[in-house]
Amino acid sequence: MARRSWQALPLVGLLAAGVLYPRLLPGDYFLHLGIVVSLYIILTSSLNLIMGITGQFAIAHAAFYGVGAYGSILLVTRLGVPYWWAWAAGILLAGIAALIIGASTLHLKGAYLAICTFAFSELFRLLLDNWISLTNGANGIIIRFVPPPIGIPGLFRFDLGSRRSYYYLMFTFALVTVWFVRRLARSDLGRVLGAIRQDETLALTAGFDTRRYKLLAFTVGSMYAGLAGATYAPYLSYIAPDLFDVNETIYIMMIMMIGGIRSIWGPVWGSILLVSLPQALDITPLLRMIAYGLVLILVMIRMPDGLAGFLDRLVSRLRPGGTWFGEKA
Amino acid sequence: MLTLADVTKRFGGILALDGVSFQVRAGCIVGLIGPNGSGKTVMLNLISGLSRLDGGQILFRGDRIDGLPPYAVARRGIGRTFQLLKLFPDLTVRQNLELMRQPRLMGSNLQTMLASLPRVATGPSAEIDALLEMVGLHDKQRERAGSLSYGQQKLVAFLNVLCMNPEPELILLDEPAAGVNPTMINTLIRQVQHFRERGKTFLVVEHDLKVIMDLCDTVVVLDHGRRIAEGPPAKVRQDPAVMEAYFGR
Repeated sequence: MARRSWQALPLVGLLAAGVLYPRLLPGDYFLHLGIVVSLYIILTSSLNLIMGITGQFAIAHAAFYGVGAYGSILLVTRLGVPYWWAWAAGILLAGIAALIIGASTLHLKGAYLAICTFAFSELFRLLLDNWISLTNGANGIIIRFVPPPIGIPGLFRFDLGSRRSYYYLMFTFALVTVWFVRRLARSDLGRVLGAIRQDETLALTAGFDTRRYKLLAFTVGSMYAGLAGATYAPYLSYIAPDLFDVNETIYIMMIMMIGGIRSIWGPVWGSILLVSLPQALDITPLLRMIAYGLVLILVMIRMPDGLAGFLDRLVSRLRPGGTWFGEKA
Repeated sequence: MLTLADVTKRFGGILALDGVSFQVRAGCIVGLIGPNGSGKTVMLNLISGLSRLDGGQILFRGDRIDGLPPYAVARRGIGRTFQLLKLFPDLTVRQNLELMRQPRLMGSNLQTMLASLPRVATGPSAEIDALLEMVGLHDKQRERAGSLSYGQQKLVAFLNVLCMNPEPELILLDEPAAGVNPTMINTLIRQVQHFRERGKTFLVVEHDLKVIMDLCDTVVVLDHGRRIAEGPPAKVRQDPAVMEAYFGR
């Protein structure tokens, strides 16, 4: 029991930090930073499920993020669907797209899977760029509506006209994503996903239908990316094809690797560092990419298990034998 | 239990197996031997569904299993080990066995798949304890499987098969003694014999002829993809065709 309580500590810590953050660092700028960090926690944790835990080298995560964003926004702006229905549909569309792409590509491995999913990602961007009558092409779509409030009467309510409410909504989704990936990784299902990463042939001959397991992880992970897109788009007030291209996937992958691939907490540490540091240092996009490259090289050489592993080593000096932040899937 | 009828496999212009037929009876230990490249591992890959037949049939308990995917073959009750050692190196020894024991839920519907989500894959198991004790790995159960010695890893791979769910009736062992020290080989032989007494059937591919002679009831000899001899070990050993295949004229 005591052991279980220790293991839940980082999750409780994240919850407390997230709740207190707007009080400790008030102001629109920090709220914006919190929203973006939460967005990348969702994107990185869900990619970690696909790539880190299950070992599928698929590089189309930003495309599913885009399917969620474009899907929900187009349903609202073109068909007049109420936002929260469109939001759910956006997530569902990301899941359907992942199911179709995954069913046709997940028998591939390594570089072959990477190339196929990269092709899908580019195809999606080209579609957005060229289907001007629907998507307004490279000019993107300006979002002029504010999502209606959502909540449970008497319990809580997110009024998305306020930045603070948006922060709490995004943070809630980030927390749910981390909790879900952690729960999944420790379940029977998660252990099979890890086994597939380690040796798919062995998992197959042991009686696991690995293609279905991979498809499930790919679809669920992509639906979380869709959720991120559908939730974040109205806050951003603008969506365009280049927000969801392969560079964005590479950025998410970089956060995952610097934070600690396969680590439950790596996406959290990676998102905090890579989103907030360039903003805090106020550096230009070009310098930012150079800084990311340098940080990535440094982490790969000095901390192959990422920031989460590094922090875990520090903490384990205080509590020998324990693991907090380096908790692996 | 297992019937191989006229099994043929080609890789481009190479005929790896050329109409091989033999049977494995329930409760027996059958050895499959032959020089390098004679088609032994290809045969195991065909039985376990990792490769597709080009001709012939494979029947398990009277049902055709050729054409089934590997996971479906495993669920029928056929487990296997590999010539190039395979286990889940990042998991502990115990976690390897627990993983093998857990129900295969993904063959069914979404509801049962999701039902496995909240379950945490740990817990005491007398069966796992007994198996670990039997091969002397009980004190290694919390260690990463990949960190054990090669021989110990071979034992874990063997236990993995025994822990499969559903429990395998036929176990295919691909060179279980290769690279293993004599003490470990003896442990392995004892365990195979022990589980045969408990009703398991084995098809063993092995280069170590002493292991084959000590272990097997029947030996099938392959050479260049053809069956050249079959019978009790002592008889096969004296067979001129076998002598020629191994030592030349």
